[in-house]
Amino acid sequence: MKKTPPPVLNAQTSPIADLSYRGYNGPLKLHAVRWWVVALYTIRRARRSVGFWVLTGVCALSYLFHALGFYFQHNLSSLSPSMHQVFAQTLFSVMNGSLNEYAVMGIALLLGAGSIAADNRANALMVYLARPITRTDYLAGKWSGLFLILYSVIAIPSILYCLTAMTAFSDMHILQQDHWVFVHILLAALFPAVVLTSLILGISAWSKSAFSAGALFASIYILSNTIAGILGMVLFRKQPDKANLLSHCSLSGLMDAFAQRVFHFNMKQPMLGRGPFAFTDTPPVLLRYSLIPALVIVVLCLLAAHQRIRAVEIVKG
Amino acid sequence: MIELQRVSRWYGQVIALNDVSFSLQGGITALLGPNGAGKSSLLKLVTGQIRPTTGQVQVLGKQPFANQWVYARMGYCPELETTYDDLTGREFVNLMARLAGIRGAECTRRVAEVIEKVGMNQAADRKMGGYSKGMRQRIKVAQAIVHQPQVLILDEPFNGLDPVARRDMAQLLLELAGAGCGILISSHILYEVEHLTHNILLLHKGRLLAQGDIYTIRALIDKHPHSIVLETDKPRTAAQKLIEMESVLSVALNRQRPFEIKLETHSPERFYADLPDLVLQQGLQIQSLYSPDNNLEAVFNYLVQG
Repeated sequence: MKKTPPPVLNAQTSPIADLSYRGYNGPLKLHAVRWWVVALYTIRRARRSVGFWVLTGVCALSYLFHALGFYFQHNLSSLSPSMHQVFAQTLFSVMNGSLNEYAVMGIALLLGAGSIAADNRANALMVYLARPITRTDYLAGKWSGLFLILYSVIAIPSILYCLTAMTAFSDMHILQQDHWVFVHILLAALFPAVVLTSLILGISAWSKSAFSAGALFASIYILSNTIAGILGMVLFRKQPDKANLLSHCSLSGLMDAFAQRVFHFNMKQPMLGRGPFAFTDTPPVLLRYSLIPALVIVVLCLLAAHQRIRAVEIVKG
Repeated sequence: MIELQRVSRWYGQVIALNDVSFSLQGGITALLGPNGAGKSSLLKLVTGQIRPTTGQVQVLGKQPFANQWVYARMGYCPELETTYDDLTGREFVNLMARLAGIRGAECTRRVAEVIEKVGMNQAADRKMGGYSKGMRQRIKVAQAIVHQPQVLILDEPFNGLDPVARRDMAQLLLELAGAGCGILISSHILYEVEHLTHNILLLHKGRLLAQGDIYTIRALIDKHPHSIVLETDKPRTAAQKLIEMESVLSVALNRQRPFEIKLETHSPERFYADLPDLVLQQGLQIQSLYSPDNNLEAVFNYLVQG
């Protein structure tokens, strides 16, 4: 008589069940540090990205370029109090100059756009969140991984630049002029890293793909910079104070405003209709004008991301 | 191990699960049902990804939703692709092991062990972007068992596997279940499931249609008489005598297979008890005897199609 055989109990054909199976009872990491696993994998994956290394190279180039520029300025002009202003301006440029700023934005876009969107699309959240980690752990891991990368890319060239200047131009007594220069660098680097990381993760969590997240992030970044810059320049003749404030109403402007406040120097702004080389000194705006909007962006983006992180099936097609 | 008490789950106006109650102990249980039956919703409830609208879900005695204690003791292999193309299989399993809290050398050892168990030793260090569907499936199973879960939830684990890999996977699941790991497996490949377990849960339109041993369930379906196929050297004599038996409802000869008789009975136990006497009295030689609808597919069809 043909009949489906009953299932065997184990690989051997022993009728006695092998009840040797045990749940894992080896050493376990503390739950509190499991977010670090996600952060570590974010960093590891970034290390494999060619684009990341190209953009990091651009940041390094920016450092070399400014260091060289400062070297010539220092050697061509006699040492004067304004040289310290030039140093601060160059240090600011190493951190927030256009080249560096867009390279850092590019890294945030490259690594952050797909960070949650791609996990969502790949249904990876289903396996992530079936592990003993919470949504907060997952978000904290993603955030810290990207933050550490951006922070390093901004802070390390600036510290190197500062160290180079201190070694090569000991006559400037940089540390005597600003005892807290390294703290200021670390502080100024914190701001763009926190804002960009939070913004891109917030967008990524709500996007269907890395591409749409990247496009939205780049649009917000570039459009806000362009509009605020143009409005600032247009209003400059009539209401210079408001124009200065308005020119900081962009992502880049907020970062500039914060860095300017930290390093205490006047930034050169182009003047519309006065020729290509017409610049004016603009004083730093009050700290609250950069901190409050940034705080709002960070909190809103993180809350939005946290809300969106769910183990749901995304069916492709 | 897994217990649902009057569980319903609504998605807006749509009901995915309707007043489902069951209790599963160890071993392998197959979760069956046509598309849209509510299998995925049930697995999501059991894996703690969603909350029931009403009722109570318990896994290992605790409610699973957002429960880290349960997650640490449960392995989950979803049906859909959940892998990263730029990671190697080993890295992916390693990541999942570390997320489960396993660390250091123990983690490396466990990862190597499960990769070998699922037969991915050769390809473990290749990027998953180049994996076939079957390889991805095996890696997904590896990540589900890397932390030695007490409960293993597998959604369509045989999808995309070639016959050899299917056999190996079935063997692995039997080994795990035999050693004490509770397994809930959702599959539409009834033949594979039948070889793994006779214990089923059958969902249809959000309701639990049947639960328990496949043969017990079949015996309870009175609406459809049991078919039995018998092959003998004297089919016409046998047919004549068989129709006289009280337990037999109909007898049919097969033109294509002249030695085969197909009969229907409402009482298979009585038929099997009476058959030896008939064989001895008539001096019949029985070449084969089997029941074509005493299998999972037939039971599934009878229950779902009515």
